[in-house]
Amino acid sequence: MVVADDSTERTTLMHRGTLDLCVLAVLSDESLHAYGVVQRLAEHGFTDLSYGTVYPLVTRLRRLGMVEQHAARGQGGPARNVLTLTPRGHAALRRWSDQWRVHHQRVAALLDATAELTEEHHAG
Amino acid sequence: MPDEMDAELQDWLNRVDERWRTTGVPTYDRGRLRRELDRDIEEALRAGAAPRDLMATDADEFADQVAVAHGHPPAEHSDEPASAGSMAVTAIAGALAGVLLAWFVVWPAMVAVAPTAGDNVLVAIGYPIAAVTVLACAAIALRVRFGPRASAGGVILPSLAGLVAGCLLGLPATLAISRALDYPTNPALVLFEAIPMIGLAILGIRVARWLVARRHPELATT
Repeated sequence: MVVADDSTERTTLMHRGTLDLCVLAVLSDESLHAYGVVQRLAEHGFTDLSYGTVYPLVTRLRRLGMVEQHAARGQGGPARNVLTLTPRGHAALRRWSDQWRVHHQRVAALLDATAELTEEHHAG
Repeated sequence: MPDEMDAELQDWLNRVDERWRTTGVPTYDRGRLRRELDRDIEEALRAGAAPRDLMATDADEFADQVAVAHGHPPAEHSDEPASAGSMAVTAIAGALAGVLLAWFVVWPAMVAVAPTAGDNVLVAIGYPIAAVTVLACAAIALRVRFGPRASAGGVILPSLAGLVAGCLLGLPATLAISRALDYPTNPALVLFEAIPMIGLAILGIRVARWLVARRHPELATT
């Protein structure tokens, strides 16, 4: 059973279950290198992530065949080595995002219900 | 890798690579991981990333996480050299295997192919001594290469078995060449006739190591 009280540890735990989904989502929008993924995630509020956190995750996604590194032709410049989603990555993104939405709704509903109960308790 | 790459970052990358080597990431995968990381770092630098942002994580920790993500759990590695006693035991074990090989295989094969082989002292003792020496040296080399992990039992025996199997496969060809050359004692010719056996022995070791790597990735390092 996983119980973490420290906020940093709890954030890490939540990242563990969702960060791969976020990386796939970012890469579905744009081909990037791992540091670019870190920057995009930071723009979306994930400011506590580093290259050292994201690169191993990208490596795992590459091993699973969801992401691949390839040389993209630059406009007049040198070829850029960027990460792109494979068809398997796109499929995983759809599947995982559906799972996440269902999970999120359940948690939100539970918290709302609990909050109502708490308010009723205080009101009583 | 760009020449202008920050020396500290280059050092950090080398430490990552060294960590992969010492924790048993196979050479092929290590080369691939390093190339992919180099390319990614190059792109990040071109995009304006600060080297300190890229190496914010401890090199060893980063290397371990990437290796695990790639499917290679890091194996513990001791930098302490093996003791003289354990090296002697390793050499004796290899030599004993060589004696068995010479006694039961090399000598009977020589007599079968050339009944007069025993008349030439150099030929008669040369092959058995070579078998003993090669296996003893191979055992030491494996022990040095793998350190404590060799004692896990997953590397030395399969590798020696591959070596012996290769020797056995190459023996007929070597003996046939030797007979065709009238059992020469000239070192260059002896080396020439040993080529099939050496080649197949190396192949045998490679095949054995490949099989070990498939079953126990943490034990394969070359």
